[in-house]
Amino acid sequence: MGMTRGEKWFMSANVLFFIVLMVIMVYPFWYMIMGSLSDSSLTADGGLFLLPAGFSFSAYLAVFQNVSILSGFKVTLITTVAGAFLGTFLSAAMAYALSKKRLRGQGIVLFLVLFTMLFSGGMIPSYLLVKELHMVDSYGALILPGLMSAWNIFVMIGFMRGLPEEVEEAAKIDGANDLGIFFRIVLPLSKPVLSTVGLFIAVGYWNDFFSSVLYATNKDMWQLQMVLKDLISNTSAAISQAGIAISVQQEVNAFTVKMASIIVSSLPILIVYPFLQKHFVKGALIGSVKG
Amino acid sequence: MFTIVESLGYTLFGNVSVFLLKMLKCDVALTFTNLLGVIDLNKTMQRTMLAVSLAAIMAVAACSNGNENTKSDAENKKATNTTSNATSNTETVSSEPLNVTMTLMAGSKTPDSWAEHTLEEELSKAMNRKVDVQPIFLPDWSELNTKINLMMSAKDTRPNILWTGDTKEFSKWVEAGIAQDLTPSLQKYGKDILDYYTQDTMFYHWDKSGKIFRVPGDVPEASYMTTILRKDWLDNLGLQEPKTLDEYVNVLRAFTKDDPDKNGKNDTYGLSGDNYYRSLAPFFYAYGIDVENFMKQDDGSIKFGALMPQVKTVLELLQGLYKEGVLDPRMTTSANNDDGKVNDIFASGKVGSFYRWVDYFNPGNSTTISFKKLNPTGQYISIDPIQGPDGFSSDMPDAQIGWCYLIVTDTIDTDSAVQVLDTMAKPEVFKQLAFGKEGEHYTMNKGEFVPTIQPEEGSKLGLGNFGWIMQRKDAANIKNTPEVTEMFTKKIETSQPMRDKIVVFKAIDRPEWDKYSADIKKVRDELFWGIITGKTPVSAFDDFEKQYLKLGGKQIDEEAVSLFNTQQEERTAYDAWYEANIVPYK
Repeated sequence: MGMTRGEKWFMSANVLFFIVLMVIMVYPFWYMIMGSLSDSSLTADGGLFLLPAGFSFSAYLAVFQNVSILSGFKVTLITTVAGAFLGTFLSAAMAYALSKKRLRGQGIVLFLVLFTMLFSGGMIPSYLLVKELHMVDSYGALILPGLMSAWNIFVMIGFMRGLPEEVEEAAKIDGANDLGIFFRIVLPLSKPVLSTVGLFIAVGYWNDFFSSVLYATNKDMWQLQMVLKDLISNTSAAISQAGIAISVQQEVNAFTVKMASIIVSSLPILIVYPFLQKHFVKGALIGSVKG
Repeated sequence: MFTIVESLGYTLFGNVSVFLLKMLKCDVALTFTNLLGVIDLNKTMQRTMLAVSLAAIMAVAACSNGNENTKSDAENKKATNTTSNATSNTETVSSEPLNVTMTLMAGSKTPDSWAEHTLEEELSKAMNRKVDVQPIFLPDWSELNTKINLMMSAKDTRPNILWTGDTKEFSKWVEAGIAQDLTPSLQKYGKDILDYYTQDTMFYHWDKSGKIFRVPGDVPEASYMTTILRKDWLDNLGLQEPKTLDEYVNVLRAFTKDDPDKNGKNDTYGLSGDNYYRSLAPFFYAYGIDVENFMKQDDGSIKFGALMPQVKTVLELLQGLYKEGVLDPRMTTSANNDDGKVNDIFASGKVGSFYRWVDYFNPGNSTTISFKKLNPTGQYISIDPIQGPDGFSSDMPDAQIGWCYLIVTDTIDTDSAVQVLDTMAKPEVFKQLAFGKEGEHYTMNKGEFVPTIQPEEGSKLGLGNFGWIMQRKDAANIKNTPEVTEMFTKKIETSQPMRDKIVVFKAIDRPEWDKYSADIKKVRDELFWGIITGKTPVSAFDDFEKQYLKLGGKQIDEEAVSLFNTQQEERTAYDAWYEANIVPYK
């Protein structure tokens, strides 16, 4: 089937457009990878490059010898794994109970959950609360405050209301109590929404840096993103922005080391993402049409 | 019973989720459909609730900011009440070990580093007791003040010694009694600190009640920029080092047009730099004007520098030079305010003159190294400031106010804290913390600092972690070669003429200035750079003063005059205080 001239034009323009678009999106990654593999003395003048200027793994060596990055990795891994599991489980438990209209006081609890979405205590009160609970500089401070979000709970409620009532009734007739129904019927049936919410939470924890700003005074409790943010923040730019004109004698971290640390810290989530992405879409779709 | 509450909740939620989705540009908009499923409510009800919920959102947005401030204030006040009785100068038993927490911002923030242990050893030796230094590494620049305010909000999280650059909260800390007066302790234990900072510098950190609540952490050199010229180009063209503005302009012209690099191409510029007026200092300063500051006039009054009539003459001159191609057009855009960009231009070796860092004359400066690589025969020299038609000349003086400072909070006795700071200010200790041990981490080769370790190793050792706390810029800064150190010393003198003319305001609060100066500066920059690039005729300058007054210049002037007058009185009081309280202890 031949294409008309106009169609051909359109097709080639289309292809060209998307190739350009792709280059725009891929190049920053490429730039970082090549930058991280470069020789640090050759990248001092900046500029664009397609291939590494010189070739050396020294930046990666420096990253893996950097105690802060390693400890940041540890902290972020622990908070991500613990936060994702705990958060998903607790949200599911709450959502299941709230999805039952026969629960007395359900309306007011729902409203209270919603309320947290609209109003928060603000930064300093939250900080003082965490401090009074003696959680500063602990995993508790990094995990607990962000554990349950109203948004996730509402997503789950929506899903669980769509589960057929008959299945639960059947289980009840077979002698299951409420907990049994929750663990053996509802949770297995809710796998799609559980994985979606779990992923939301996990990505949230992985990207989190602000908890460290607030609740960590010890550098051992800095999350990876916080370490990274500090590493790549540009001292001379910050100082001149503050209106102070001093010549900073040298940047602490070489360009190549910055690039290598960005790669190292984003690689894990970058690798996981394609496998998780289908769940994102699937999970978000499920429950959107009520049967 | 619950239905009203419930429906209100649901509707709010529905509308808010729309709002949130828009804000977050959430790509899983389908989730929203799911959420709406939760809401069982008729349409009219929803519509009436829309207004309510929107109002609620506004209110939330408005409160959340205000809330934090009032809270922290309340907390501060509480802190004052509980701690005001705490005696600040209790003599501590010297055998007791001392724990010092201090916030740190500089360097690579290596925990438990060699530098930290070295400092602890030095402190233990100097104070004759065991000292444990506990650094609190501050987050990156964008979160810095958030973290500091949080920590300062409660006594048990307050660092003993606070490093900060932010001045907004400082007066509150003083009012709340969080910041302690250091004068008595400085007299007893602060000799190195008092010796290092000048009388001028200490004035800006002095409280008019006769107390010192903060000491500077890092004060720039008295003058750190200089007129830089290509010596090899001068030689190529057979020209002399220029002394007067006319000679300088001729040299710049020759650098542009006479092919100074002898490559047969017309590819050079006379002058380049960033988009700040400091890059044009050889012109403005030759006429004795600084367009960024208030200037003392011959009749004793003060006036905003950009309004002085000489500005017009300079702009006219610059317009001509721009037209001839002597000025690098890149310096007329704010894109050039990135230091890296100008460093690249400097290293490229296609520009004959700059008004820029003295630090370029250190052979270890990375820009200088790049320049040498690209231009093996090129040579930059620093010359004396250019003389104007009246014979006036000056380098650019620094205001000598510390850009960051230290507070000893109410959580430690000031004697111990000052002893810690004073030890850190000692040249030998400072050198170790900043550069490492001689022979182990660096060597001195005929006065030139040569590191023997890689920068990454230096980071691991924590070198520079304690920077900006009693940062020494004198001979103890061994990164400067003896020649550069001498240049800095000489600059104190060559920048003096303008130091005498520029008004430096001590006040942290300048409400009128803060309110109006941004607009005025914007108009000024558009006008001045417009004239320089020829887009605006020089005559447009005549209307500038009118515009200035219309944009709030009147209020700024009044504020400036009153601040200037009270400051002069304060200065007299300070000088007497300094004579009595500091000089005997130096």
